[in-house]
Amino acid sequence: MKEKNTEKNTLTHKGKDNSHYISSKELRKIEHENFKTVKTLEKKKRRKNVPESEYLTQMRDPHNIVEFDNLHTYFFTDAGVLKAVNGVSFDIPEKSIVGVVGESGCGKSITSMSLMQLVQAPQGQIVEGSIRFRSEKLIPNGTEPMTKKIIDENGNVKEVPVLDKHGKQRTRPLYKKEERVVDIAKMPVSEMAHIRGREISMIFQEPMTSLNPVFTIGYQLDEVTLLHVPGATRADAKERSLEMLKLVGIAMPERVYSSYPHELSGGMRQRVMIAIAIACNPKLIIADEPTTALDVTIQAQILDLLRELRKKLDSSIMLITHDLGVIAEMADYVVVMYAGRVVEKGTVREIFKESAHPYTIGLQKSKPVVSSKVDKLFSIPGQVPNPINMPTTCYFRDRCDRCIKECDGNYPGMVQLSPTHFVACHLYDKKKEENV
Amino acid sequence: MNASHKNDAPLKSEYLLEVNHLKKYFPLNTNVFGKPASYLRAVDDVSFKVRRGTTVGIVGESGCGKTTMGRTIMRLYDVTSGKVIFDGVDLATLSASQMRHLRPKLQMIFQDPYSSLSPRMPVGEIIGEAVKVHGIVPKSEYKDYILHVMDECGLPSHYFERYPHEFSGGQRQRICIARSLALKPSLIICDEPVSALDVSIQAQIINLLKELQEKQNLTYIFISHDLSVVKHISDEVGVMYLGSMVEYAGTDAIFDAPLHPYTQALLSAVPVPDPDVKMNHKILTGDIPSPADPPSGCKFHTRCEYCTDICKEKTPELREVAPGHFVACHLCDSMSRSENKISGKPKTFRCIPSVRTVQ
Amino acid sequence: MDYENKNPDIAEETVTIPESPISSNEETVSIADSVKTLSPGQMVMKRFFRSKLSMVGLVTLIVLFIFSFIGPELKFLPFIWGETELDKSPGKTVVTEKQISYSYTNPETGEVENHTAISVSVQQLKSNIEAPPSKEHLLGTDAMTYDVFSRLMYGGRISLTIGFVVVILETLLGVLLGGLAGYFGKWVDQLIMRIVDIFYCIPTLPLMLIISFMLDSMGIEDRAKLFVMMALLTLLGWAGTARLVRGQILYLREQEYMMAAEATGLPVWRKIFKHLLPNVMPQLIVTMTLGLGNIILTEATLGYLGLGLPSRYATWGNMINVVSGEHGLKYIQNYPNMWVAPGICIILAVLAFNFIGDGLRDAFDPKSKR
Repeated sequence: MKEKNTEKNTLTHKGKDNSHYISSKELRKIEHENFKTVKTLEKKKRRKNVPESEYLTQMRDPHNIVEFDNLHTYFFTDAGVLKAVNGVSFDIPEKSIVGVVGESGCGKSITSMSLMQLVQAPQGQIVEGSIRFRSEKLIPNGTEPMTKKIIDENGNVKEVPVLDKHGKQRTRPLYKKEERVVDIAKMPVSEMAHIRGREISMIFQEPMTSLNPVFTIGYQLDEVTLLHVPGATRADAKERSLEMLKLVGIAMPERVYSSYPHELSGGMRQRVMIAIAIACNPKLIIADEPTTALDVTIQAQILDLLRELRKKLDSSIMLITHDLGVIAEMADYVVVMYAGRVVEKGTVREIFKESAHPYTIGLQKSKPVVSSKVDKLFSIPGQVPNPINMPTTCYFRDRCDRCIKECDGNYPGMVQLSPTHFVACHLYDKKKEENV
Repeated sequence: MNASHKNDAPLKSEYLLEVNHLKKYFPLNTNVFGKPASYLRAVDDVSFKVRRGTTVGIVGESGCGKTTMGRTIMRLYDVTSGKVIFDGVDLATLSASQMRHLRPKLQMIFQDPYSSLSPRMPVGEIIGEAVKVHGIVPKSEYKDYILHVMDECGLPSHYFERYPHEFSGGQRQRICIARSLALKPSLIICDEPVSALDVSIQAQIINLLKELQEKQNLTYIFISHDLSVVKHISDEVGVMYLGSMVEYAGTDAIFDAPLHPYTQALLSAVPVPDPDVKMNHKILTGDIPSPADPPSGCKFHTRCEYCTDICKEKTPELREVAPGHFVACHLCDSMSRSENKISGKPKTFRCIPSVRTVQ
Repeated sequence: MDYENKNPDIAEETVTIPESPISSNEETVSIADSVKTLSPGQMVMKRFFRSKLSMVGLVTLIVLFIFSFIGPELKFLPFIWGETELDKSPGKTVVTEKQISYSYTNPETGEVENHTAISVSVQQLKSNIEAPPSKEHLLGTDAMTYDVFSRLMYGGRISLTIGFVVVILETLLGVLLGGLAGYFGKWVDQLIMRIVDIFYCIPTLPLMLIISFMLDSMGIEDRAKLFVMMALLTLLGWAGTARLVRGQILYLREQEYMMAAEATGLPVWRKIFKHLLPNVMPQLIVTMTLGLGNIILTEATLGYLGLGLPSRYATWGNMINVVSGEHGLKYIQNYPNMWVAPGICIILAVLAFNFIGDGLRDAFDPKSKR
């Protein structure tokens, strides 16, 4: 009987199957529209001599390093507009670890890419919204004579001037820092180059492929300092690099300095990646799944290192991961993303102890835990939706087990549950009214 | 291993699979005449038994040889030495064609759902191809059978004619499961079946595997690096390190009272998704040594905090320290068995539950 | 360790575990399927047609095909001639100037004087040799009175046919041997790859020279020479394909779906033909397309050197051959109508194949994002 049913299903679906693929007419329409939008956006981005006033702005809260405000990053693909990041707003406060958690394709990586202006153009474009970043601009401020420390025959440390070819003392330029708030979403690429690597740096997921195999570790580390610290010499850079390698807990920095990436293990490479990331004392480190490719015991080492570094440096960390365990251990604030939107954000305790959104709850329950035992895992039914042609209703509606009448309406707005806790779910709409 | 079950009849024993001193060496640096200068000991003398209808979990970090072991049991790699007795037949001695006919009985689910499906074949054919080849069902029932299997694995019937690239990881893994299941196997080796999937999808796949096991009395060997998943699904767990089994016991025994220092470290390294449980990580120093050049004596001694002289010289054997609990560690000998039995926890090492402190 | 929810109104509901994902899957189908995706073919086509260069290549190629395969059939047109049809109509008037030296004994002085005189003969040729472009002969005629324009069409026929036949033979041989080497490995691989190495070492041109002279001296029939040439080009070209296929198969063999095919106990032939070959196809098609251009070039080179088919047969290479003979300079200077057109045809064909090949490569590459 059941067999017959399925047979029937195939027959009815067969007719439907043809419409499963896009017709060439639709394709042409999509292509035409994509071309138009991308062209205007690219034109805007390519302009020369953009006046500063266009991208200077003010922070909403001066204690934040980064504020994402209604960010929309779209990909104009052949199959339609893919809304990878669809109205994301959250803040990264000073000296804190903000965890961004979500499943693959939820837009967490694209959010960080947008922050670095690394979204792959021309398909990927920041369409709307702003990313405010508290940046420090370096302004030339005189010069300083260069000296170096040497040990003379009596064993005393002496400072001697560094001379150039003609016997004159070399000088290095001095800079003063000027703080300003910029909107990265509107910033020209040339300006962005000063921020990338120096003020915001990144740790990638794959330590195996994110180092260039033909250069030594030392060369790749020095490069960062030489590029971003004005007036740095090779010797300065090497000194700094060795210091960084020591800082990330590498026992023999000299040896690692002169070795090639393939000579190191995965954990070591990730340490080197971290050393590269912190070499310029960035204000923000984006760690995009820094431990996913590593083994559990190595992961523990790296997480420990990140925690330690955070105490030593005054950087904030934006930790992107799908592992709730890592988030719970590391983060101060958590942002839960689903299908390009923030569904819940709050402090780590609020997210794990007082989780409000059905997705957050489901996510936590579906992960088996070493320390407890259940007979059957809770599972969120269905698949992560394809982010093309999203409905106007709540994106989680089809997988949610707590749907109510309102869920058929528009996408829910953010409801504030506590000063730091926000959730986007119709279940809490009442609370909103109460608060008002 | 299991000395108490020696007297079982060779055929139709309670064990579906017995792995005896299995070794798989890969030749390295072969010289001009094809003689290898050294070997990579991917699987080095591993023994265990799998009861019918149960799940044995194999945990270990990358490079510990767990995947190679799975593939060697499947005879996807040739066995270097040792026995793999499946349902009374030693797979290691079978010829290629004999093995081919036996293949439907033992199946494998692979880690990467993206590369384990042939990209130029529709789903129905992927699932049904081997069914046709082996003549699992009569031709007239073929399509109905495939649709039935697809339905069992949670795949709607109209996926039959679609191509794998249209599906997400979870759906693809369901297709892989359906492909294995369609051959009516008795043993399925799951090689990291959920580690490439999202958390919410992981749970679906694990539940599906469990459900199918109950329905069809399947036996699983579940290979994973994710301890929490292994704990959830397995009845017995083996911990591997550099090609050797370091500890083998019932799931509860391993997770509540791990004896081997490596198992302890592995367990304490798993992050717990609870901000109140501040973990006292027992962080292993150093990296995993290369399996091509393993350390002498106990392979773990380079990273072990309890390492003594004997560890550096003598390779410990896997011995039964409590009923059904096997450990390969010299230091387990030094503690008295009675102590172990009473407390259920060894005194020599700290146990995991006490490591966690709730604030 | 259980993070029970503290929110009272949630706690009640979260206890209930929803039904298994299997039964709940049906309803979620709606959202997953509401999204339309591209079929695999559509994706390839889309990427191919987006590249302007490959479109140019495709159009050029279609035009060339129509030109060479349909063109000669349009016999009713006044300017379409047969491949070796002679134009016996009276040709151009040739004015030959001849300098004659003669000695003359002056009767008055008795001295012998040497004189030169110019004898002018005006003569109309019996057949239409080396005619300039006209309505009857769009590109004139050559030294044999063959119509250049028509021979351009016939030449295309032969050049393209040789190209296709050779490429197909080459691919068949390459796939077979490369496939064997890649799939079975070990000594089979060693043996076949060493043969490939040997074929890579053979210098093409000297070999062709020798064989061409041998064929001439053995008095082989003209038509047979065509087949010999195809066979030779195949023999010299399969090694590259074999290497490519072997590399691909070595790579594919390590893919998990091949493991899966092995694990499900599929027979060897099925693994090769159903799983490996379809996945090698994209790369093969690309190399075949690029190879076509190469073969046409080789054929032209051979024709130019006079090593290819007998000059009676029109191929683009043979047509260019006019500039290489003893009167070469005369033809280069005075008769561009004879050799420029086949040159352009060769360039167009090779470019077209290369554009299409590049376009296909990008189209088949799943990683290319454009």
